[in-house]
Amino acid sequence: MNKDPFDLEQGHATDVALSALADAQEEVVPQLVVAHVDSCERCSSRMGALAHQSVRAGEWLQDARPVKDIAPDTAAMDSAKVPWRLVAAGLFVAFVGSAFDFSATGGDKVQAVVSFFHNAPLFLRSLISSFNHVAHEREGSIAVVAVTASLALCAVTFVVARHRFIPEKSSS
Amino acid sequence: MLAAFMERITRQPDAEARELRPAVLRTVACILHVSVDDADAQDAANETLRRAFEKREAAQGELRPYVMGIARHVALDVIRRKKRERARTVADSPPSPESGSSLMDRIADDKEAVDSAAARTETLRNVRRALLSLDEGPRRAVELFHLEGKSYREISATLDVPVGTVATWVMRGRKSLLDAVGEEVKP
Repeated sequence: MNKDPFDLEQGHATDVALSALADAQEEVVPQLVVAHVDSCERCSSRMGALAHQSVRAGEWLQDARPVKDIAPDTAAMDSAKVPWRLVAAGLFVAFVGSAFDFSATGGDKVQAVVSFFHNAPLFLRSLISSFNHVAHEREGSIAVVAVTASLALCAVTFVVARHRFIPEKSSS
Repeated sequence: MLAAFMERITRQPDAEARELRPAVLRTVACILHVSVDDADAQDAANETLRRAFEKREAAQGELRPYVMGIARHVALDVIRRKKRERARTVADSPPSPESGSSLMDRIADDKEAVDSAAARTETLRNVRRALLSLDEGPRRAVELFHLEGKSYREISATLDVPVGTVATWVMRGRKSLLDAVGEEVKP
């Protein structure tokens, strides 16, 4: 038969009962035990010591609380991973900027849109031919350097974004 | 009216009633671990009697248990308030540049601060390790009580265990944590 941890032992309150009183949990302690504690100097003194212990433990636990308990939801951050949409948007803007020369069309919006769809395939073809030129002739070209620099910039952005969105593993 | 209440305590033919204030004083001094002459004990005893007077209509039956219960609550409140004040004092007291100490003294103080910070970091690491070493039940009980502020009954409902088990888990778990930082409970 399990013994009630709140029962008096050898005429005095147990540490479990005194600890509960020290935690201001009087409602769970039998009234008989409460009345004894209020009239017993030994139990009152022990309860005071346990109250100090309770406060101290609470302070240590608050201070030792792991950062992840108060950090943003890492599960949500895990799912974020790399901002593919932002990367795609950036590449699209860069692509548009390289193929869409508004000023060359004299401010004519319709002509500018037409020139975009005319220039875009040319840009891609020039990109491919530039790399082929480097591969076969081993000579640099300004276009290749510019494209390579852009790709390098994209790669750096990718690496930085990936490290930024993956949470650090816990050391404990 | 307060005087009448005090008279009831100190001048009743009943010896128990006459000895109530000294008994209150001894009780709060026991709980606070100070002498009966200590200012905190005196203030706590006065506060006890003041509260007992304000809620005198609730004093059904015997006077002593009612007043002693208030004394217990007042003394525990003093303990918690002093801890909060101590923590606030440490946090709000940066080193004063007008203290008159020399530059070398301040450098030495910084070293002590570094040493104490390192010791504290190690202590917090021990606390975390001790908490993780507890079984799941005691660990959850301690966390729910100290970190989430739940009552024993709420923890009992959450963990689906008897209240006595919760009380035992909290008491033993707390003791394990304080053992890990080398703090002992004085008997």
